Amino acid sequence: MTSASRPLNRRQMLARTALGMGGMAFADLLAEETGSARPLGTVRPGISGLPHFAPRAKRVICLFMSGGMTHLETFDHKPLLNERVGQELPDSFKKGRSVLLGMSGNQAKFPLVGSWIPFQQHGKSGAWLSDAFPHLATMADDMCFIKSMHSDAVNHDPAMTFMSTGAQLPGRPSMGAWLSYGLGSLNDNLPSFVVLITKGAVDQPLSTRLWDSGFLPTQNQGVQLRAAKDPVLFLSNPAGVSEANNRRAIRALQELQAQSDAPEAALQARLEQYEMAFRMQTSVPEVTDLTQEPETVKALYGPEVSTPGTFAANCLLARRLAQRGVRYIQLYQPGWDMHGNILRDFKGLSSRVDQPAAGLLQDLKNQGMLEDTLVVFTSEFGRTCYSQGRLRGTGSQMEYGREHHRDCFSSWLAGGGVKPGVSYGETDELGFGVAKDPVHVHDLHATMLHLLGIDHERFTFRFQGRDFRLTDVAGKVVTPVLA
Amino acid sequence: MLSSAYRQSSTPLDPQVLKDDPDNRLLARGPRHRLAAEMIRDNALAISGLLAPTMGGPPVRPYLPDNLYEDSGVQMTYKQSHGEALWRRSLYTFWKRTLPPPTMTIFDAPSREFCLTRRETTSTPMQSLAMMNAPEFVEAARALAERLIKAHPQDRTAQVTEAFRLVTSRNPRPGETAVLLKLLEEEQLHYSQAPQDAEALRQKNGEHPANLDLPGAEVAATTMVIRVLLGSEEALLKE
Repeated sequence: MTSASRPLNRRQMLARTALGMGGMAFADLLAEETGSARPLGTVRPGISGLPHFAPRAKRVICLFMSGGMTHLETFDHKPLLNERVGQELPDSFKKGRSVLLGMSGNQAKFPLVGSWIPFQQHGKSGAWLSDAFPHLATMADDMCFIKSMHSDAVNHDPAMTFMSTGAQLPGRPSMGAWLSYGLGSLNDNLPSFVVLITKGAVDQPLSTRLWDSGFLPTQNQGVQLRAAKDPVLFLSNPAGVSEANNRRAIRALQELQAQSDAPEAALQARLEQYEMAFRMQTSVPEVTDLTQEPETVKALYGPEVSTPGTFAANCLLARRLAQRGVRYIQLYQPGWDMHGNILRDFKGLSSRVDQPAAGLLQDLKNQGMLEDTLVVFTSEFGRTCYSQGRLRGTGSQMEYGREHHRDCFSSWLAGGGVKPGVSYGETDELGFGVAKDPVHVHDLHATMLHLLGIDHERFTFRFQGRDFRLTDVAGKVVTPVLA
Repeated sequence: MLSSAYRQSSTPLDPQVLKDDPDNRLLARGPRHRLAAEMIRDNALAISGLLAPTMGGPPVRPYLPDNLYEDSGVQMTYKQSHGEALWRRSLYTFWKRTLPPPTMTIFDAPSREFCLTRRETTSTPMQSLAMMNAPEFVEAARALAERLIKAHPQDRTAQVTEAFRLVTSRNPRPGETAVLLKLLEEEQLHYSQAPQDAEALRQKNGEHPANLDLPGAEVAATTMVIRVLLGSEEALLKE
């Protein structure tokens, strides 16, 4: 930050520009592909002193269920709610609150309602999953469930911003940007922080602030790869321009540079960016071309994997990006904001998520990557144990919705130094609050950083006269989930 | 800005000055820094002759990549402006904080969600792709090409000299002119053999209507030369 207005010497310039996406040797890309892994941050180093200790995970794939995924129909089994359907939320649960949060404040009655989807135990660990996730259930012994997540925010935008950046107010760097900044890049042909969004999913809006670099250097911001003609913006040539034109353009830029008396380093850096840009015109379509994957691998992700932009295709793309050294891959699956009718909205969405997420775990496992890839499956908050509005119908046909709920929700982790086959934390018997071993959003962040070899209290950036952290002034590493 | 320190050349005559004060901490030479995102676009519009000088009024919505809003998760659609609104200063560009215009953020414009006293100046391949391929820059290059061909018919040296001067604020050295003329000839040859590409280049990049009285191959070839100039380091610097 301090050198922004000063010219750079050659060393600085090359170091800085290498931070950007894109990259030098095309051979590097091929090397990554053949699996000759390099040590951490060798292409573009991170900041000195990092990692603080030996990391368990080299990279993160975060599957973000945006909209507020219900914990009560997914991973948090609350049979008492099914017994008490229609009964009022006991006053003891409202203790200390004059009104309940969010839209619940307008509600006069709070009829409890249980999951319409049955739960079963799975694997040696006996983890409870609802029947909506038959594929994930087969991976239960590889997963670590956290049932006692809680957040500070009850509306989507601040809660998603909180989960992504550790602060509810916009403007802080997202976790992917922190990691890109701190740990450096493993592959300069690709950005170190990539964002993939399920195409056409309609729900709560997403914002680029969720993957922004905030006050960190802008090269660390997340780059969205789109399921479009240009996966990276402006990747393809304009109408009437061909590769031959570009080759001549590069040559002319080189020849002009030879004539110039401007500082050589700056010119050289700019020229290298052009060369990288034109190489990316080959390397990015190569990475995003899922047809290169064997059918046996694609089958793991389910039938939607062949449709670009689906959650399934994005999961497979995430594995390809992880394999090529992308540090942080963030997937967004909107659609979980089920206020009105969980019966109607849930099944279609869970089935689009279940097999791809399970397939990703299995694929990473098969490729020997799960041990150093941290997979995080989370949402910004959970949902209430009582219905939003009246219950409609009866039995298995009962229609109900659930309002936002920040006091408890479920996430799961896998791989990357996480203890497999465990459930950590508990909610109370109604799934309304955390009863045991609470895990705050800051605690999750601290734990993720720990797995990446970072002490969250020592990883700071000075801005506006203050040292900022991803975890602000809070966060405890959840040591019981570490392998 | 009127001080002699500020008005020094950023490229001192005595190379020792650069060696002795490489970071210019002693103000041994004039400042040199990359233009801000808004200036890069405004500069291209200004020299192309496309810039609309209208001041004030509501924001405008210039070109964005197809389906950028739809694919981004903001769950809105973008209604692009037409006509003069496409060529107004970047100051007037509609700023959606949840999805800022990419050619601005690619050139280090911050998201405007927090205060920043000093912008980063990075150099990335995303910037190279934007300079070479974003419609606003290709269109500006083509509009300038048409202007130069009209102003200096049949005089290629005058065309490239004027293009260079407009982009860098100085006259080219003979060697630089030679590079540009060579490129112009090669592109002329290319587009005279591929007239459909020449027509696509001048008619399918941006909404500024092509001047069809001018020869297509010549416009396309000159556009390619200006595209190189606009993307050169010197064009992106204030020095």
